[in-house]
Amino acid sequence: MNPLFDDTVRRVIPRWRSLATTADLGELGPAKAITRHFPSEPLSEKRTDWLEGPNLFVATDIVGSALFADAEEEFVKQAASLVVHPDSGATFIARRAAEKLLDPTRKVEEPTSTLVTRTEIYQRLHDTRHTLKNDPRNAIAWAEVSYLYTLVGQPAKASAAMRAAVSLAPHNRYILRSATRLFVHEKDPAKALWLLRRSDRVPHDPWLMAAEIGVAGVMSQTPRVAKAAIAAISSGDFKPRDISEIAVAMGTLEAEHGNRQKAKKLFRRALEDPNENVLAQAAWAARVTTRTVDISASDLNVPYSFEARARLYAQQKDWENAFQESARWLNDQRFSIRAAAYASYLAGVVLAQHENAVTILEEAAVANPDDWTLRNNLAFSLASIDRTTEAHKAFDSLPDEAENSYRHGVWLATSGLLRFRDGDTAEGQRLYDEAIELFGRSGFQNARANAAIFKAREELRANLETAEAALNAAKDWVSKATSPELETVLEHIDPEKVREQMELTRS
Amino acid sequence: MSAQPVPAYQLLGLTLADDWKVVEQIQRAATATGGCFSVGYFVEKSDGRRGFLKALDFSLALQSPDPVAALNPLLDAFEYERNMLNICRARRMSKVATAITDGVVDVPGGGLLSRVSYLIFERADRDSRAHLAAAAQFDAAWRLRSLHHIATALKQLHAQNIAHQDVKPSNVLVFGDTSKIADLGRASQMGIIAPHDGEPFAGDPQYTPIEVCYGHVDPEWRRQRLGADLYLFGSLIHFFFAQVAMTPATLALLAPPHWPIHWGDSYAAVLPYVRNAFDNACSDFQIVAQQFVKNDAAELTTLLRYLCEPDPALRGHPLNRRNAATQFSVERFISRLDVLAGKAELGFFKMS
Repeated sequence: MNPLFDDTVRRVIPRWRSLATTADLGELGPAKAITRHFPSEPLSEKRTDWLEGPNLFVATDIVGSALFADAEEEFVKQAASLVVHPDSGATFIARRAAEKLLDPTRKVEEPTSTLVTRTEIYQRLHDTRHTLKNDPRNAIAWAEVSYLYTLVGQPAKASAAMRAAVSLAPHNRYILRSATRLFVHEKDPAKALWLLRRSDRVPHDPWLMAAEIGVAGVMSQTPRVAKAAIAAISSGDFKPRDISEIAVAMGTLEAEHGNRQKAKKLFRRALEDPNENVLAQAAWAARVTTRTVDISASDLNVPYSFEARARLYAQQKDWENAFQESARWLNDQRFSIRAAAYASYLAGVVLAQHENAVTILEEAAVANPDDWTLRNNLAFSLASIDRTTEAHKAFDSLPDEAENSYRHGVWLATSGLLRFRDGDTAEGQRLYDEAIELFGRSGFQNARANAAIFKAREELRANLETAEAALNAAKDWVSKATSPELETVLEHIDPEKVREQMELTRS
Repeated sequence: MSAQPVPAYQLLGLTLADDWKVVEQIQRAATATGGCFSVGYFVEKSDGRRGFLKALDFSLALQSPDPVAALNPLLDAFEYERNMLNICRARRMSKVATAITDGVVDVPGGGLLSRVSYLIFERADRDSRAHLAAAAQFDAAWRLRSLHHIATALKQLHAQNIAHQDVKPSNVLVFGDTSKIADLGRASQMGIIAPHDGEPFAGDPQYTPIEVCYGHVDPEWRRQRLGADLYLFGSLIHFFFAQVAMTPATLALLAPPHWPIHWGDSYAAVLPYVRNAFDNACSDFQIVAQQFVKNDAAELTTLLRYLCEPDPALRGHPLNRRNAATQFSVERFISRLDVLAGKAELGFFKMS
């Protein structure tokens, strides 16, 4: 299995989530927050109404007025409590308003690791399209429809819906950031950059500046807002959360240019109040660029930081939790190839739970039907549980990527696995050896160790005389590799375990 | 020195012009209406007619450091409301709670402030909130007929280029089977400068058009004032069925950073979020309305959408929007509500 994606480069591309979640995560506040005061007389007048006749309709009237005031008064709480009482006869709409008054802070709810089903996605799509039927001017609903079409693998409809959203709200932060993510996902970052650069809001909105810097990086272009971004970071006009993404994006650029001190300073600013994307970027920088950023354990309490948590658990070799977090990451970023590749790798390769890996990859394939990595990984896990016909269907039309030594090595290894499972052990051995040799020649030590482990597994399963030598070779390559999971993977092919597994399969 | 009793509180038992007798003081704290503090009484005539008297109390203004400056706006507001009421009375507006009469009474022993100005209105049975609380839970007929009456009231006012500006449940008064709109203290007449014109929030913010909560005010009178009346009427429909006004229902679906109390950017910038919350609020309204009017809930929700459209430039019935002069016409809403109310009265919506 292709262990991972290319981890040498990571850009701060906006995450794409529902409006409610994005707002809950503090990414949609006004560029400049204020406190607007409303007259308190209307509420005071209602105190008399309440004292004279405390009925449901007076109570809901009070609740409505209190939403505009810092209403700490007892009669307001009494009125709201009456509305939320189960026997009050209040509608769910009135109840919701009263609940909002009694507890204005909404707790951010994180997704579970259980994958959202396609049926649920189609139901949401149906509901949102119904909203648009009633109000085709709703740009947010168009963006939501675009998101849901992306999840169900209909990119043309997703693009059309996003075009509608952008034409209705061409300067809206949520819409522009969602559009950015969509077009980067569709491998059309130029369109994302064009949309961002034509909006006059971008140089004034740090969240949009971060998107411009990220997409320019994807296209290997110089960001146009770099100066404005640095000015925004040092201006003191914005809250730490609002400048966290531009700080981490600029920090990444500085690190790439070798300006370690500047990078370090920017990463420090970014981590004052990061969102999960900033944290994931900082965690990536901590792995890739040494001594530029320090992540503390408390940073992982940032809501939705599944990617960072998964990688931390992986570093600690806590594979079960690493998998749980990566599954939540996938649930959060359902169309993300990185999330699907990581979760399926942990499930299939590290935990040897190939059924789980297949479920993840089949779901991920809906949004990314042609992705090379995901199709290869699916073939690997299907073959590993002897579903060879399906594995061939996923793999046989996959290009061998001969010009990319890493991918070509992966292709050779998976081809080798399939030959083994087809009963052609000699050809299987040859393909695996070719992969191992290519990885070694290209400096991919971890991939070489991985291929060697699975070659040994197949030889053990086939009961070949060369199996013990293959196992020893795998152990040797593992000792020279750096990935923390390889020792665990090696444990799965302990000859005793493989034999037990074989007998279990036969019975 | 002992404090002198305030004459506006000393009217009980007095007989006023036209044979009105003050029979009961309403035991409520003085309320600010139309910028004036007022004291309420029930009054009766010997022929059995009953009324509600609003006595103006200027005593607080006279005790301020600058009585003239404090008194002027109060007098202006009172005068403005009285003029509005006189127009309504002269035009025989059947669905507007107009003043039966107004006058001045001398309060014996009242000293310098012995002359108290008052307005006498028809006495309502109760306001719509009290009626809704007492009515059967899913009584669609009364709700729809009452809304039909209030839409008619707006038509009567708009015909005189008067925008009510303060349509809300407590200003809908119930007189037997008839509902009337009351309290013209916030009304605005085209071409006439009202004392409250400079106030950004004329009245209760929950019953204020949502764009005004964000500080967006259209300078053109029709769009600002008649558009506001449409929104407020839609909000009343929402309240009658969902028990809360449209703006709080929308706010409850908005993220707190997008609430008017926090949003420091333009209304145009927040409008996509507001529209999304509004659409969701309308969908929820339809669910609630189905409990009352079953198959016609969709139509009622559509009317609500037209009336409370968050973009003020698009507010109003789509068939009227093409013409600026008729954009805010309530005619089509009156006829549709009449049909819906008629169906409800015939028992069309009774649950089987």
